Amino acid sequence: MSVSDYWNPKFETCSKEELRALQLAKLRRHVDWAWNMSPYHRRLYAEVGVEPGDIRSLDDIRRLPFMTREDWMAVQSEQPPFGDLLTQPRERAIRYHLTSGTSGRRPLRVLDGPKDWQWISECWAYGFWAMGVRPEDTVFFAFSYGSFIGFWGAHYCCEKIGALVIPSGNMTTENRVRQIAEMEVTTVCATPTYAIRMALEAEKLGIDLAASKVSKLIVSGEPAGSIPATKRLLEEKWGAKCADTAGMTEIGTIMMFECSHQPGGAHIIEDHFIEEVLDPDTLEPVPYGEMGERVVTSFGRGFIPLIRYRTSDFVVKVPHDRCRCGRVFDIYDGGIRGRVDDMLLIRGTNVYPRAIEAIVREYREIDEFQIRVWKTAEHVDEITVRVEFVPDWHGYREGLMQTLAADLKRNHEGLRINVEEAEAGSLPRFELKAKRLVDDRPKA
Amino acid sequence: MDKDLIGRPLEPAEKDVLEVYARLKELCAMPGQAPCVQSNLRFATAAIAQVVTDLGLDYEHLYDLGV
Repeated sequence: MSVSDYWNPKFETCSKEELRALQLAKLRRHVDWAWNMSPYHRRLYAEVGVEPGDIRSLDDIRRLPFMTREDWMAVQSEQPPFGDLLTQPRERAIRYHLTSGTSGRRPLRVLDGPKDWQWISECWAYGFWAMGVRPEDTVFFAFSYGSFIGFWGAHYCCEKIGALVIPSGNMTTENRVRQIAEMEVTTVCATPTYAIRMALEAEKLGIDLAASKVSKLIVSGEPAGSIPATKRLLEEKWGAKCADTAGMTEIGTIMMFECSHQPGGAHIIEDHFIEEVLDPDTLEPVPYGEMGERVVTSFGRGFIPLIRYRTSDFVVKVPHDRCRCGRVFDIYDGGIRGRVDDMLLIRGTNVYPRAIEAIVREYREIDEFQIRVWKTAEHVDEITVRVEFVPDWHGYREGLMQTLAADLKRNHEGLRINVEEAEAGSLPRFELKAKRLVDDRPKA
Repeated sequence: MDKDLIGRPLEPAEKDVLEVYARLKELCAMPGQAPCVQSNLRFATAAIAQVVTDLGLDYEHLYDLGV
């Protein structure tokens, strides 16, 4: 029986210098691989006159040009289906996935080989182990197992750990909740939105999840897992510790996880990734504690090398010792804070959907919500938060909406944010990534 | 090889892992094996390659072996 609290104690607890030395060794080999095997990367690097031998220190990573989602979409459009990003013929791949397309753009396509899938599940294992998942656990995946990569890697990670895995595929929410109770599940994996939905379903069915065996709730797919009010709501409803994780299809797995010490953020898996945080305008690194854009280099997937990929995610990196767990991995304080392309500009004020969720989730009387942006006849931008109340709450709704509107206004530099009631059951519910923003403004 | 990627001397168990890794790669490259042998060797090699990578003993891509 393993006694380590760490999945990989050698590199989770090494010195910072050793961690950086490992990153440099991997970076040099991976850049060499990309240069030699991927026509896309060869062209990208040739354009700026950089070669693998130029990477002598970690700082030299800044000599490498960025990869962007737009470039990726463009090369896959020009040479469908994969562009010239592949380092290998597709016959050598064992798996195909594509992005969820929730942002309304063309999905990105990825391929992976057997070793890549070992690595994908491995990164999840860092997180699951850190949250306390062990062979004696029973893990339930509230996930539809489609072409979106979602929790696929987490499923294999649990098999690797030796836990009992319950895949729920196309089960209804009611069936899922019943299975969780009947099978004495200890760990549930879902998006934060869907975990809330299952909790509400359980209440409707008279199942007390807080009294169930579930002690760990591992969420991913949305930033809400690190929004304190949402996390508190989840922990109360499930009577379990909630841990946030975040990944992306472009990587294939997670690059950060919250450990059982719950330091208010997630550790970056730094022996498998280099995560830079840059000012999105100047592209200069920002210091610890300042918000910037994540730029990721992954050492896992070799089929499509991911080197200096601009993610559009806003993060705040803080030193590893913010957490008491003993890991040397730095932390993204508050998880993913938002996305560059999520920002709404309403009458001169920046509004982020995540910030609205953080406030709305403080109101337990609200079951679901939607953010609608629209233009008046006078061409003025308006924003309305539509709220659905918990069915059995019969308090003073008008008063609560006024309080919420005042709260939203106070937190948005005085911007008036309308609040209106939506009919019970009228707002969409989600299993994967929630899409609560509806922008009805005419497209330019 | 007597050191890992960051220059630490190898532990005895790490040396053993590297030996198994090298042997599995050789077996994967052997032609004319039964499908059951070839396929399971590829997956065994992928698994040990992950150990090798996690411990910083080596770092390489193995697609030419079907791994």
